[in-house]
Amino acid sequence: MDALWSLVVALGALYVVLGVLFAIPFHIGGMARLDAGTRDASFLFRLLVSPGVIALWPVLLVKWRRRMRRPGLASPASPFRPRTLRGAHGLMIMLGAVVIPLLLGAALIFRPSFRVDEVRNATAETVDVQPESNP
Amino acid sequence: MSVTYRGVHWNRQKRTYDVAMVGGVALGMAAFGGVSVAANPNITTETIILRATSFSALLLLHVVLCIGPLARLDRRFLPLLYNRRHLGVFTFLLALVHAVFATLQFHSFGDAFPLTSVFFAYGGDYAAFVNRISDIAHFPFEPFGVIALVILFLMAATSHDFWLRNLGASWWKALHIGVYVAYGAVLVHVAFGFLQADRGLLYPIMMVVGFVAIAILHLTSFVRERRTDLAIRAAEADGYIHVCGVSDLREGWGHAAMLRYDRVAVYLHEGLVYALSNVCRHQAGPIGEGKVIDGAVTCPWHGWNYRIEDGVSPPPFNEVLPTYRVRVEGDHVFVHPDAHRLEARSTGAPLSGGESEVASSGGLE
Repeated sequence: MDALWSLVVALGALYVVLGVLFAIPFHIGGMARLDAGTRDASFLFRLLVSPGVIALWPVLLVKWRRRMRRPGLASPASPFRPRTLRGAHGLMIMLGAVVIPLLLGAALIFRPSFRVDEVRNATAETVDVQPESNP
Repeated sequence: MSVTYRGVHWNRQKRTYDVAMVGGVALGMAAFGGVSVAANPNITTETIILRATSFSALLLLHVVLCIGPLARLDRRFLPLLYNRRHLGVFTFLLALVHAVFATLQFHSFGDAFPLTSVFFAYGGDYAAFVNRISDIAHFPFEPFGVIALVILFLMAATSHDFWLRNLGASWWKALHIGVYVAYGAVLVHVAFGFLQADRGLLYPIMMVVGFVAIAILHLTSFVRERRTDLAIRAAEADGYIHVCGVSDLREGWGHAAMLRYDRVAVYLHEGLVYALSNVCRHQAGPIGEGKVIDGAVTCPWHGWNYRIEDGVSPPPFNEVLPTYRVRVEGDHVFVHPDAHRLEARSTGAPLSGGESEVASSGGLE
């Protein structure tokens, strides 16, 4: 199980590194091509949007490539569908109103009589120490 | 509006909002720390920071989630909505501090890489929990905290107007609806984590009260919006177009609104709602920006008058404005795009609800 999680964390780290590498040329030229409003934008603005650039770099890469292929044309904006979004919003609310009380109830009903943190600490120590003591 | 982006569009209101937010959280965290030390003199600074940041982040998340429905239910709460994104970003920063301290305190002294350890240290083996579902001590509660943190990060990172413009309103809004998933994940993280270690009743009661408050506000707001949607659909089925809310109207003053490809001037006069063409017959002035004087709507440009019921200029003038059917339902005003016969006299629609009727049919097509 820990090997699987190690792989997931490593892939996450790789994604972030690629995002940082993407952010450099994007700030130099891509951002202004994508959105002319960023041409004279301040350093603070660039700093504030950078975490998003690193996190959503595949989306921006696709949009940037589209703009390179069709310079001068604004990317076709997806139509805004307020009723669909309100529907999704309502679904979330209904789902939460049912699922959350069940989860909260389960957590409180099954609350054990002993101090769980002591068990957890013991488990954590076992997991962390195991590789060293049992090579 | 600006043609270029700025980091933050600061103004006096935003500064006041942010000072109140940061000051309130700082005071709250100080009080939390004081009470924690008084209750348990052996508590460590790391634990106080860990708990104070998580408590503040959870409290702010509740506030963030309450602001939307509150503002929809009562316009007096709109100022809170004005700078909600800063509240969201601050919530993420508090959650991040909590996550960093938790990782350092509980996962940085073992052999496993701390970020990897977060996912399996307490669970030991996920299968063990699945096989013994009642063994809550092994419930993997920390990954739920990571899920919430990632969603809060994405929301904070895309909170700038740049993202709204470049992701598109639909995608941006869809991403930010993820706050409900984050809230659910946080509740699981706390309920199956901290609440299992803490034997008191205070925190469970606070969580239940918080959830009930959020649920009631959202469900009330949702039911009201659903009613509005149904009213709008029913009116649209009859050919009417939603033009404004009742609260947009002021006694004796006009309100300009779009009616398909044209504009219409909606007036509230003596408790009745009327609709006339927005274009003055004199020099196409905006009728909807005028007001009612002696029972006649008055163009703000040159003072030309038209009787509010039939759109006819008082004698000796003979200009006529088209008038329209009006329907008021709940808080909404609808106008039918097909104009009455010219000079037809309308009764106006009662503000309390109902439709306008034609009192006399008029003489001109």
